[in-house]
Amino acid sequence: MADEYKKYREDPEYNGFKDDGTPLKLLIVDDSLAIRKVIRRIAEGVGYEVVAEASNGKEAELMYTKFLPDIVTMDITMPDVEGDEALEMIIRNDPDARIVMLTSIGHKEAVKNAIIKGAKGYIVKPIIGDQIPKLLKTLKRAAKK
Amino acid sequence: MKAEYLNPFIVSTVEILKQFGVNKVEKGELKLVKGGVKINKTAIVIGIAGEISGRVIYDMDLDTCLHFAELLMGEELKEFNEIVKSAIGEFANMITGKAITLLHEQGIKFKISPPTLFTGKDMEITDMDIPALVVPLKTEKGTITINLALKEQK
Repeated sequence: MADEYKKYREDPEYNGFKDDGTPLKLLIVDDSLAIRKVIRRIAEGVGYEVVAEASNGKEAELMYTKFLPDIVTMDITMPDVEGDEALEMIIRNDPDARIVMLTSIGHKEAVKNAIIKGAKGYIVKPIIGDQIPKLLKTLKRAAKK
Repeated sequence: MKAEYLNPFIVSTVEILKQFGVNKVEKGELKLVKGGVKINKTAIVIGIAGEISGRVIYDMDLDTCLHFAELLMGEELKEFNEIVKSAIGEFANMITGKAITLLHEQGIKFKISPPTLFTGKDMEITDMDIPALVVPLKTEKGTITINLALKEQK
């Protein structure tokens, strides 16, 4: 499966490695088991270490504090605590948190709202075709160095 | 319920399917249905709340669910398991998310709930006191029927 993403794994603009060659730590937040699996496959394929997964905003905050990831993918529509609320909570505790929204909602107001709250990027699902390199590039740019 | 609310859902379904490589989508006969909704084995329900409120149901048979889940997961899936259920819920979520984006650009604002999946034989959902607009979309991977019931909040 790793071969599928080989060209991205070898390209420092897209891969999941720090400059010293160690993997970047990723936290995946999405209420969909299927989507978490898809993101994990792509991320691990390009070198990320997936340190944890969360299925709602509350879990996301707990996992963030526990694992201090270098980068987070954050869904918006989730049960209980939604992604934009979790974004605020995490940024409040760690203003240097690197969070990229990965959601099915793409209107300007939602994007603006997330960026104002501190998101470092915004990618609209589905994660297929051209959206894969776009996601990888956004994650790499946003991740802690 | 205004008929123009349905169009963004049809456009979104066609566009999402196209992103997954399903290019041919044929729109079936549009119907206005009052009372209970008969379901074709699997229904994904997403709640809508805001300037318009109600719900959208995506209805399809198990084979169609499997086909769409395979497209989303990028792998072959043989049984109707948790991954398939989750994938098909996400599929509905992406369509609805895109429809929100389109309606938002027309100035109609609302939020959606996470998808809820129902499976069963000869199921009937009775939920809204307003008629629903129902339209089947036929594809090479199976038919997905959109069932939309919305009312304006005043």
